[in-house]
Amino acid sequence: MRITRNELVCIGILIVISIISAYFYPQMPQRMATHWDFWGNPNGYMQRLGAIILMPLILLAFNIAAIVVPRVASVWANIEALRKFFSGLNIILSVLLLMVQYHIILWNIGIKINPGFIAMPMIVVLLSWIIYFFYKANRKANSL
Amino acid sequence: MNAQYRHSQPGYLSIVISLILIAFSGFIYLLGGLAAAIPMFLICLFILVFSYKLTVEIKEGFLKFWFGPGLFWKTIPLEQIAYCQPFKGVFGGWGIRYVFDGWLYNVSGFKAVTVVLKSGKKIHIGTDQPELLIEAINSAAHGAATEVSSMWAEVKADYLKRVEQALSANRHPRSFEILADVSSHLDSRFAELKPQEQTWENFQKITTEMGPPAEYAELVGDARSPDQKGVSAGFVIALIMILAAVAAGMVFLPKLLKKDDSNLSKQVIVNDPNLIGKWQTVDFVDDINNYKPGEKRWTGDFFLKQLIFYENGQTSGPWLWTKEEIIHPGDKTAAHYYIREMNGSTYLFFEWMSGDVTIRGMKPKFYVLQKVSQSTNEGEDQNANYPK
Amino acid sequence: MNLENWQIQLRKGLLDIVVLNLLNHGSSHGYEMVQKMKRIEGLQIREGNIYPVLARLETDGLVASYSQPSVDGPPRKYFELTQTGKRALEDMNKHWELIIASIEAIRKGAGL
Repeated sequence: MRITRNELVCIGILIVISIISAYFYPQMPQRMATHWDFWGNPNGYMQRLGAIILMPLILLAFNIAAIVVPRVASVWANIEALRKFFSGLNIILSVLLLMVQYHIILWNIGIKINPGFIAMPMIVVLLSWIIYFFYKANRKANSL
Repeated sequence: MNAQYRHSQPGYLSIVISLILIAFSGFIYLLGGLAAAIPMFLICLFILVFSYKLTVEIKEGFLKFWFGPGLFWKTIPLEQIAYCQPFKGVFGGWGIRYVFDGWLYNVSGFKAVTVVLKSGKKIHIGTDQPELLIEAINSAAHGAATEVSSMWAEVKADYLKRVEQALSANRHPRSFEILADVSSHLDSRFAELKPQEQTWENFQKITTEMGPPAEYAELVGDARSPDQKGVSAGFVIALIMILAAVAAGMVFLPKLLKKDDSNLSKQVIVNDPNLIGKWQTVDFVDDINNYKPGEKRWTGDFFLKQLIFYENGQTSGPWLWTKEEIIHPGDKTAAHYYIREMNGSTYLFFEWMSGDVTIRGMKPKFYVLQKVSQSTNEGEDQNANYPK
Repeated sequence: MNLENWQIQLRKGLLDIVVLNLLNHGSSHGYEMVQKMKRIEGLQIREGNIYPVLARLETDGLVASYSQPSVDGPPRKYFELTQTGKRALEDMNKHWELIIASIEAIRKGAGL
């Protein structure tokens, strides 16, 4: 399979997240706030290097899985159904992680935005996609 | 009575993951985390014993399958079975889970058999030999001659395996569907044969008439899925421009939001030589008078672990300072600070302007920092006097 | 030259237009289409060939599949022509007539 548009977009987002992480790294404090409670107060911290590379690494791992799995497993599993799922999931996750990483960076340089504005809408979109997809894909696939 | 069919599928994935996690729990144990290591070890051991294999058996009128040595089993009377077919759903993992139209039980791989009961209920059973299992269940459930159906299952499985190998070269996303369709077609051909026609030669004739497996790959063509539009040069250029604009926006946005920085940094800095140097956090208190040197009241983690105040009004954090005030340009807050000498050490009480103060109007608490060095170098200072 | 081999290659090349024309007369499942083609002189194909062709046509959006319950076993997978498929078939049939006319002309030596 040749590379698809969705895959190219996700790779592009991965490059953007890596660039902004590298750019803002010198400005980050040694100890970065990386997790917030329900009310938007930071309650989890990480060392600078670990905090800044975590999201790009997660996204890299997911991109590898989403790009490689449909290409090797097409004979073993109903990949046509899975392909669309991974494609959409990859885009949603890429945007979500980019926004999360940018929020972490902004917070740690003093621009404090309530994380709920970023996390909640994206999590709702992500969960909706997963539930919708599995419901429709399993219904279609099992009817064939 | 011997079983008509019995096969165990090794749970390779479960075995590997369980062993890795068992090793990891050993690692945690060595680090001193006994409380975490023991439950993790027990859970992994349970997973290993539970799912190292899945056995399916057809015997005495029942289809039965069980995990591991016999943990969790399910028995289905053959007379309740309407038919079987290859599982065509979407795999979401291994174990026992509900997949929207029935429960799926598997330990490894991507293949399973859907057993459809006369009531309409479906049960999906993982296996690494779906064609043989389907044939065994169908013949046991519907009374076909076991020897003949086993022979047919072998011929069919062999042909499908060769088609699968041919299609795996292309990796077409519909390869799985093609295999399922070919399997159904073979079933239809078999169903047309009269009992006396069910011979090895006729089975081979059927697969010959199906055509050489290599032709499947040739005919399926280029492996591209329907909604995958081609990646043209125009798309790539547009994508690069959009992503470059996004990246540039992300880089310059903080500069726009922190415009006040330039004004604050141009303000006259009133020097305070007592403040300049490296400070280490020792406590977090409600009131300055509550602090006692050597006694730590705050039991949680400190967000602010240390702070260096430079001569130019800058700090090692996001704050700026002038005499008696520490300013956060982003939050637009100005906090007071107080320096006290206690028991031979110098302490800085830094008014902490959290959301409780700025939004809820509560009284600020204080970070207590002890001066460790007059030097403002980031690295270790030989004269640094770090609190114990 | 192996005539049988040429015939096989020719049939493989014509499979798309044959399958689409069959589906133009109504939706059908793969097994049924193969049985129909077996009854037509010169169109006997290797039975399995139809499935990768149908998969490819579905990938290209020319046909769509759906499930239909069957009285004697598992549900059958039926195929039908999509609107895109109908338009493509129209173009293919026109082109086919052009090819037939051209080959006829060459056979008769016209225009040479």
